[in-house]
Amino acid sequence: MSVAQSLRYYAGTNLGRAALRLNRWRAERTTPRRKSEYLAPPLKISPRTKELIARHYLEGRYANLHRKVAWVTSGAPVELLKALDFYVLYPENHAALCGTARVVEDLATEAERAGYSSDICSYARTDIGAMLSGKTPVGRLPKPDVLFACTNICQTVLWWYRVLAHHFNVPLIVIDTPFIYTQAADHAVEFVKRQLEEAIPIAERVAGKSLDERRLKATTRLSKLASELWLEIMARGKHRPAPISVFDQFIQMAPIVEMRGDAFTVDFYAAMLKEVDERIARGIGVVKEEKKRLLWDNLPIWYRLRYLGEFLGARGVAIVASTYTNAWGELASLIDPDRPLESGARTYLHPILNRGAGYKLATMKRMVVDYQLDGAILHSDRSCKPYSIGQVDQRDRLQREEDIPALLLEADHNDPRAFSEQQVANRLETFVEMLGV
Amino acid sequence: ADEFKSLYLRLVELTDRAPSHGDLMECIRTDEAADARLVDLYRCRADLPIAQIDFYRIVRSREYLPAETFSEIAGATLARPERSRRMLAQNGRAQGTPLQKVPILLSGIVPEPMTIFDALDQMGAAVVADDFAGCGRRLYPASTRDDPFQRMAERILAAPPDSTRGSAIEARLEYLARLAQTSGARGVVFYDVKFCEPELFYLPALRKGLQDAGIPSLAVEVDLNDPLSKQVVTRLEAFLEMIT
Repeated sequence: MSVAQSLRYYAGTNLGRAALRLNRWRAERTTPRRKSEYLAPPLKISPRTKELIARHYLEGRYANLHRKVAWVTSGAPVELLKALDFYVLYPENHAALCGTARVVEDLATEAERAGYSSDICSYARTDIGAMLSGKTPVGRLPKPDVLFACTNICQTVLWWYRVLAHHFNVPLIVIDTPFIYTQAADHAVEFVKRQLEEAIPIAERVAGKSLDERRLKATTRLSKLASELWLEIMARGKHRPAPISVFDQFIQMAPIVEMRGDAFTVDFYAAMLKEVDERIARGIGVVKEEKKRLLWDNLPIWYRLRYLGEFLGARGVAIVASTYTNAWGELASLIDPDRPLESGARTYLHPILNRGAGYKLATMKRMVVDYQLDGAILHSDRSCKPYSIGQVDQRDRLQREEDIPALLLEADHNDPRAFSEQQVANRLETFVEMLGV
Repeated sequence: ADEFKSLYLRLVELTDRAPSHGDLMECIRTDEAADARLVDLYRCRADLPIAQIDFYRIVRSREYLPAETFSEIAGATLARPERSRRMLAQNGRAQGTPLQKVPILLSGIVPEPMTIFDALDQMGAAVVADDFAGCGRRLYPASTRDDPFQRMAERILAAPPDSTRGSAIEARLEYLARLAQTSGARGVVFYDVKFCEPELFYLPALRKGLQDAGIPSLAVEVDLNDPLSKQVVTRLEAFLEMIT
């Protein structure tokens, strides 16, 4: 990378950062344009979230000029790459962003036109469409120098990243995490740790520098702190009325997913926790007249967050707990910054999607009690089979064993073509009636 | 190997039976013998006096029959008399007679619905090789390891490139192109099951790679529980006309 390129990088990112700061400053002092009759105003932290996400992608636009770039899966042990100064891009998050920006149909069609079946994951189709067409709502995505895929969230990422590796002709590091039913066996932890150790020289070669163990420990410590804060924020949903909803969590989870290991992420969640606590102190509920409290299972329906929030809020229903957002905090206790590789191996073996369906059911049952829930919505996600498998049984058992009504809602997390608004509205309306609202 | 060992220990716990090293090795060798029979079937497929659909019925029985039973059936098939082989060849239902039939290669997860073989027979096409995850990709080479768990693991890892193991696209492409070349196939038909992500992700790059190598291909999507549609049959006919 030449001096001129580095100068371009710093000029572009610094000017952009200044503009984003100004935008945030203005937004913080402006009354939100959209006011809801049934919901509390958006969190005051929201302009900061927007700034963080925009800044992340802004740096991405210029990253190839100055830094090495890694594309990673959302459940990858990213601390290793952060400690090596990689700019880290999460295609899944980019796809979710495309979902909220409602540009998926266009991008997925690009992928389908190139021969990718409409039956494969809509995140993958969104990103492959963006990769093939160069279209993205964030301006431009940097090309990867290395790909890093961890199979702890699904096997789909393995095939998806094979496609990326073939397209970009760059090294692909796969961290294979054996499926676990209760606790990971020692040999499984050792197996993952060995893979992490083998990944280091490859990542070092691409980065052009050696891994500094102190830096890895520091990054791991920041990941742990941010995860703990995130867990605390979610736990505040136990209050009545709940100060934030799961829809807020879906929006505010971007930093914990794609900015783990950064100091500003810890600051961000500390500030968010403070604001949530202020809401509790002032008795502010996310749903103005909270009557019923629900659980959400599976990924969000990114392109209908507002619609669902308003629909349920209008009926006094707040969704206050979610297995999905919980997944980014529940492993915090496993992270040991003093033993980053071994604890990394253990932590990244335990995401909810790498464990038996019984674990998910147990999590949901625990949430029903802890959050005093009146019902559950299980999003049967056409695109995410590993998350959706077992949901029929889980719904039945929640009804039978926890004595709460549970609804299976069929949709797709990113592809609006698999969403029938009328059907969803009918099912939700009936479900809300069942809740006795 | 550790995963196999962990599974073994769990099964010991569940069944209260603990097969010895010798017991395990004996079972593994029986399985390896069955796999060797499977390889023989593939090697002799052009001379076998059976219809294509029957060939694949036998191949697929390796998935569920005990190894000993499969070996017996495969052995009996391989030992069928030459006369019936010729007779069947004359009425066009045998695996052989590549001169009269259009040689093609099939790829996918499993050959379902299996009526595709009857359809191909009627169209005058012969499947001379396959890259089905449930068939041709299960030709596991024997291992020489003495540790039973390592032996089982090594066999699976040494099998042909497979999407379900996440093999690289380049490895699969090279394997497919070589298989097409050595078998004399004039084209590749991707017979894919709906929603089968492992296969569907690889499809565009494999087809492009085959096209660059001068090997025409066709992709059809079917459902395991649906009958073979006329639309698929028509597309197959058009493809065969193109490569004839």
